[in-house]
Amino acid sequence: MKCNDAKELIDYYIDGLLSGSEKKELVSHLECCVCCKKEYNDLKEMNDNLRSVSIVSVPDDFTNRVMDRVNKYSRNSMLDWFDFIFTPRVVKWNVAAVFSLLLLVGISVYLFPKNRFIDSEVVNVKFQLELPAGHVGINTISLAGDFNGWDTKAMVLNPSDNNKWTLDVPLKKGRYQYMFVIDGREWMPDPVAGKLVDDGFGGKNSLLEL
Amino acid sequence: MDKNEEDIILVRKCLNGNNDAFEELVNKYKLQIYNLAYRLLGNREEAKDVAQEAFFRAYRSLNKYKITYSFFTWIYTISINVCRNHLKDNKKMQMVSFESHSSMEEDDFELPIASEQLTPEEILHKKRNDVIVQRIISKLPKKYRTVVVLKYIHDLQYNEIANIVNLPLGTVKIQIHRARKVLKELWDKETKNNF
Repeated sequence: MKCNDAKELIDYYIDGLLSGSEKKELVSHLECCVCCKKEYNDLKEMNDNLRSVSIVSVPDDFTNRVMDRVNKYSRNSMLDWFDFIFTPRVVKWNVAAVFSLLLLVGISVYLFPKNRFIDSEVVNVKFQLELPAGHVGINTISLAGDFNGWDTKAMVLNPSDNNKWTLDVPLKKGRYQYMFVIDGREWMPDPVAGKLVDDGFGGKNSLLEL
Repeated sequence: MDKNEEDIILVRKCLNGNNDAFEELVNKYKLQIYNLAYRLLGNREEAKDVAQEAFFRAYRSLNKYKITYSFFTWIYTISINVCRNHLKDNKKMQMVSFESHSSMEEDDFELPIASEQLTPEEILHKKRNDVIVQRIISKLPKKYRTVVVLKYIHDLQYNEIANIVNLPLGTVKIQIHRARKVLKELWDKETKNNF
């Protein structure tokens, strides 16, 4: 083994990433080459010095400060709605009349879903997950996505004889991210999804575009 | 029960409204996250703010946490993103300057438990080492800083680093291999003058 090749491999060797013939060759090279042996010792010493750097102690009030913010946030998200509903306010009758009218329109749209205008925006999507044969012992597979607030229990797929799980979901046209959830624990992207997108937390969601 | 299963139970409790469970998670990971932020930012005050912000963001996004990843990986990923945003916002991409370290206090670092057995020379050596390490991190090119801190200071495995920075394992190995060469050059330069 030449010195240049050995120098390229020394750090992999220190990390235990070398095996077999490469490792053997490097070890025997290190035994006879003073220059590479020095390189190895220097690198090891640097690693040890980096690892031995002191730990900085966390300020005493760290947890309390985080929890103050957390508790305030969780209290506020509940209280916001409570305040909105129960805070007494001066009603301007013209504004109230407009809101009532909008509410009435909203209710009538909800009560007459067969309205053609609304129907044209809704697509019936068949979600399907086909598990490899022999994949047994699964009790439930559900569908979680931004269309159901990532609820792992709201939409459960129906199993069929040939290990296929399906569910029809009417969705408005748009972009949706979703995942399958096996037995409420294991999250799995759709293997036949058109696209996968970053979920912002290091993982991938399946993407559906209608 | 392994560490991650314990974390998942704590996350579930949080999602059911039990904030004490989140406090347990904060206490479990605050030392690692605070030190990570400190190494990336080089400043204790900023590290404190950023680490607290990271935990708060984790709490706010807890319903998006997927158990296919360990909580440990997830909180590291969030913290690194908060550090990056903090640096971007403050236009401090050059990170720490050495000047900020020249004011290091005697009690700035917590020495290991065995420190009572260290000689004054050894303590001095350790303090010098701390200063040099932080100065070297600050001089590393941006693309290598995070992986170097995770690999050499936090002593994480390659696959853990790949999960945290969301890059393929091979890419991480190559990045660390290249980073080590730069690190070694900086190390030789700094130690020649200081040890």
